[in-house]
Amino acid sequence: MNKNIIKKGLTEKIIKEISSFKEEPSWMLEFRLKSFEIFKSKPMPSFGPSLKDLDFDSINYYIRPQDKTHTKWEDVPKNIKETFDHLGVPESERGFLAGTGAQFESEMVYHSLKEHLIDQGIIFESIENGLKNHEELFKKYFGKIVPASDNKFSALNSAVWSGGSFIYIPKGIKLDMPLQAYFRMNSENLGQFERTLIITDEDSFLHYIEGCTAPVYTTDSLHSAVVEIIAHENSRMEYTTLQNWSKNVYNLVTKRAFVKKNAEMYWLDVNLGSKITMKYPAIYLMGEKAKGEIQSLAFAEKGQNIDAGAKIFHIAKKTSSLVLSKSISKNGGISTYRGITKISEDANFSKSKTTCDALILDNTSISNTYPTNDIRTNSANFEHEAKVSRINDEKLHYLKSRGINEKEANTMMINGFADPITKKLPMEYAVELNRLIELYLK
Amino acid sequence: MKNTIYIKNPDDLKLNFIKKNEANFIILINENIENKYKYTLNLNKENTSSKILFLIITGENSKLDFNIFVNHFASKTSLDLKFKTVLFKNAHLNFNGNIFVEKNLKKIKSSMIHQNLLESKESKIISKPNLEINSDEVEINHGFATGNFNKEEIYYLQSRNLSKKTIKKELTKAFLFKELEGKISKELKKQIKQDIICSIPL
Repeated sequence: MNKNIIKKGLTEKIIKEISSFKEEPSWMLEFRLKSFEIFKSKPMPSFGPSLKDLDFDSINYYIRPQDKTHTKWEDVPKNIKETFDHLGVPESERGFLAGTGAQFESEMVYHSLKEHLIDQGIIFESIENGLKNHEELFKKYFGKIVPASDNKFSALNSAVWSGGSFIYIPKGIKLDMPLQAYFRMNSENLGQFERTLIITDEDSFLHYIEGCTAPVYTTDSLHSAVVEIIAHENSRMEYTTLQNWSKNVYNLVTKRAFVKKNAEMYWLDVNLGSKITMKYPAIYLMGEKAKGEIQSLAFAEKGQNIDAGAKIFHIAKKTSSLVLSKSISKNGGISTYRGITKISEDANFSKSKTTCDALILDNTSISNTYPTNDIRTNSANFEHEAKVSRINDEKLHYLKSRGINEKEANTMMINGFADPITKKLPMEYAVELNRLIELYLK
Repeated sequence: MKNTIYIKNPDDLKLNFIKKNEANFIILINENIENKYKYTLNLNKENTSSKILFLIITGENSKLDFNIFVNHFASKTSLDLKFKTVLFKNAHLNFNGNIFVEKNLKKIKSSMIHQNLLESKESKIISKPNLEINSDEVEINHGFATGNFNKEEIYYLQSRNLSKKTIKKELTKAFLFKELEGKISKELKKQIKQDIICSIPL
């Protein structure tokens, strides 16, 4: 395998090398270098889990497993293909997906879209090919939804981004099968900085699914992605994440969607793995009657600190939003909901509801809830509720009295708790998630 | 509520609950000023519980900043906090609420409920209700709801020849008086109702 590794640590020279490998236009190199300066000047987040052990100098910022992105699995190097075979990616693609992308280390090794969809004008390419083949469209939106200056990790991603998907759904096209991207970090001390840019044009529909895994190492890796979405008028965008990183991965992600008039954005976010996750998908409701929904499920066990949440900004009038966050902590795991809902002065007649449910399975675990509700108009209706509890003893007793042992009863209760989220997943993923929940409870 | 203590406009309040069945509180805030309020509620001994009702009415140019800390330091403690707020004109309310439950505690119940009426387009409210829970045998909840006066109710009352000002006054009274029903002595209820009526800036 032709594998290019740039030496550990981050310097201007490394950024120039990454840009050179990718044969980028000069404006992109300038963007990267400017972002690097922002990264150096920005402080670490002042909230959330401690990141003091994250050593930026011990990370490989770029590993190129092969020279180009293939469109046929047969052309993908054998050892990489075997990894994705093992994860069932090609099988899923044949079964129920309109297109698949697979990222291994820092690059997309595979990207394919069904031919009749290409004919309809749908673009589903690696982010690098998006820049090469559709520069004008790319430049119009890239870095506009999540600017490099947003936070330290968006600046880092903007400096060293590599891999990810570029998607454009043309006007009036409703894709009835999902597109999927799969992200795999196989090397030790790797930094994966994929960048995803999705544009759903007017009256279109897309469901995009991303899955993430990595093998376990004794040293830490960093996953710091940026996802930018723009949902144009009357379109609907659904974005599903199933994150099952190994417990040595820092998962520090910035995801944001701009939602125009009458458009809808739906995030579904399931977080099972990682050492530390800091992820707060954001929706900006910018056009009248725009809708946003964020549903998330997090599992935290020993050594894990899952700090996740949702940000909703009602900017235009008659907008509506819904947030449902569920978390389960056990064996000393820490799960935190951190979110903000802001209804601005102009967002008259808007509606919003946030619900946070947390389950704590033992007295060594921790659950925190830090919502911020900022309501600046009296014509809006806003509701927030949060609840933290353990498994209901009475329900457990009832199940046991029906001959179900305690372990099974607990599993049933937790599956029931997670059910409002799992039932929103495509069938294949819901089955897999239920299996993972059983493993989590073992 | 038995043993109810009524307090008006306390800036700083520290309550340490150390005995069984301690008093409950009704706290009225009716100031039209810029002010900061810091309330610390410590549940230090087992089997202590309390209910605290906050009635907040404020109006023009007021900026009220509340910092509330509820600390469960002992097992079998419960606290029920309820905030009923009516903001008139350009009133601005900032609320930071924190419920903390220490490690290895049992049978903890804590509730923090906010119900807010915003009378004017210019009134605004920012709320940060934080929960930090370090034990598993808990029932903790927080609820927050914000809205305007019900338009249908206003329309109905207008059709009965009441002015908009009178209607808003009556709806404010109904919103706040509801919390006093059957819970306190007649004399105290009468006094609180009178204080509320005098506080409505319309």
